[in-house]
Amino acid sequence: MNPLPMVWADLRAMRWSALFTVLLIGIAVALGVAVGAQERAMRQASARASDDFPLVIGAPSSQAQLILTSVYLQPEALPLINGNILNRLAQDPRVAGAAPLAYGDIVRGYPVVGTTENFVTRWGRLKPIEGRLFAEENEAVIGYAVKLSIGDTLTPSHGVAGHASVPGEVDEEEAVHRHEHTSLTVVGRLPQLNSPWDRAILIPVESVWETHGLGNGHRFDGGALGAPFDAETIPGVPAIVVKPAQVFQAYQLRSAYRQNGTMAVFPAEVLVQLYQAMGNVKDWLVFAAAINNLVVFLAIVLLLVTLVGLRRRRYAILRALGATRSYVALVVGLGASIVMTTGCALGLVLGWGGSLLLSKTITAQTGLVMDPRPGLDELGLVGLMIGLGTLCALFLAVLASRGEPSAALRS
Amino acid sequence: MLTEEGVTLSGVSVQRRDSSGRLFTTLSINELSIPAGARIGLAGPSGAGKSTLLDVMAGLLLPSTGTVTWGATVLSDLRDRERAVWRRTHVGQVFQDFLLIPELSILANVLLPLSFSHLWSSGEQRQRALDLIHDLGLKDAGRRAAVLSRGEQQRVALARALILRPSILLADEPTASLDQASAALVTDLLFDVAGRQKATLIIASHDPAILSRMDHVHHVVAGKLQEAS
Repeated sequence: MNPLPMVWADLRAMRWSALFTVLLIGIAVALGVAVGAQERAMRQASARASDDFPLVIGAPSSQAQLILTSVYLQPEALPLINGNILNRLAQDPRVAGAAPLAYGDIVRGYPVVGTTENFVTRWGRLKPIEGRLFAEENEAVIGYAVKLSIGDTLTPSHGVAGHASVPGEVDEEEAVHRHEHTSLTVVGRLPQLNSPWDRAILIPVESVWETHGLGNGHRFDGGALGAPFDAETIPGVPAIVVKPAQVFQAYQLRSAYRQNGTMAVFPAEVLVQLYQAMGNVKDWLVFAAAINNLVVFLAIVLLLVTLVGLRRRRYAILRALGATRSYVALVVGLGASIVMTTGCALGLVLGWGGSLLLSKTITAQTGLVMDPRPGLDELGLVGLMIGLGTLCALFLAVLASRGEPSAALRS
Repeated sequence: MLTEEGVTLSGVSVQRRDSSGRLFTTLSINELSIPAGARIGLAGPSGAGKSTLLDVMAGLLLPSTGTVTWGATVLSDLRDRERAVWRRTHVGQVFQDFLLIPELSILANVLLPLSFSHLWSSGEQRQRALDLIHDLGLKDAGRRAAVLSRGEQQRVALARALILRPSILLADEPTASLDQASAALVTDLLFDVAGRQKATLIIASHDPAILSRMDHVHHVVAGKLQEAS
């Protein structure tokens, strides 16, 4: 038997209600898929971005703000900690590496971060994909996504300026806040990290101090960059990233720097707390989406039951012409399955597409690169909808093929 | 498909319930035998039970009592699926209101009964459908049934009834929607096909032109047979 001509005729006959049903299912499934995929992508991207920040030390204030500023480059004015801590950490056997993070300036919307070579290379893991690392105070290494070239010269502006500017574009507001006496030359570009740091311009911390009239942290000019800083007064820094030598030492260091005017946090731990809050929100969203799906599904079942009831005479025609009940059931079941499956497929595409669009927007705003994909949860949801749809189709098929054709023909 | 056997109805009655749930009889036939290859007319006023009788003979409606026997086949002994297959392979039925599928083309409507048993129609079957469509004076087999006039729809319904070369042809007012010329064409085709296939032809009609060509006409009045000619 070949039910396709009748399936086609049925779909054509109820094209508007079929289209409406497909759209309803599509929107319902899309919501569920988008919520799950987006939340997971956000969690993965934020976790990936924090990988290079095992322990962050700052002045006592908001832990979240310290993480936002240091890991996600959402700069806010943070209180400074004593620059001597850098030397102390450099000599601490529990520390494999420590680097200052000094913010406050900006170039064409890109944050300028003063640090040291060991952080630029992420403790030796990264190498520039173009050029080299900075070797002088007036040299800069740019992130992968910074729209500048090797050899370009830059003059940073004070950080508050250019907040609203589009990264990469010249901003007039920046011009009036420029540190005209400072000139930096781009000497290298880092590989892609898929984090906000792809948009950062990294310069020696000495340069940031010097630009702001604080000296360069060294007793003599022209010496090696980085620790030890041997000036009489070492300028303060908003944050220090610490790579502990051993895991257990990370806890010792956190404990040690949780007092005497400093605060030490594990970004991963803060993120876990954040994820727990996000997880609760996600659970509610998923629950709301599931209820939404159920309501939509029930509405669709009712709609289809009504349609099949209205088309009872049509299916009686088939019976009258010699079609078996199974043929009629196949026509109805296949038609309903096509509508359900198309709706689910549309939902998958819409949900995924919506997540991709949202991710692009978030990436444009934060630099956090996300890769939302439907996971097992979302595919399970789609599978559940298709499974329920098939059950519904079977129910409709039984409904459609019941009774004597003669009675239906005369109704 | 040819059959050498006619139909016998014995003690057949069809009962229905009215809106108050009371049973009433719409058809009551003690005995009726129609030999194979006969041309039988069913006449009578509207609502007398002619269509019900055709449905009973086609196996579309199982009688409340009695039996309908085609040759050695007792329709009420067949299971639903077997009855559907029997109907498909033996009966070509033209309904009073055509019962076409409006979204399908003329050709697809004519080929529809084939789709109940075949995955695809063969070239020969398609050609037969096109020949029938042509013989009935229909043009453009790709037109959808929804856009056809009532007369055209009637002819498509006839072509669909004939596509599987049935041995039993049942027609309910086959010329009611046709003008005189078309009615003559359809009637000629029905008789021609029935003659060539040695099919049993049973037509319910008010049309004297059709009834006059029948071997025998039964009058149905209030669900009962009254011999007329």
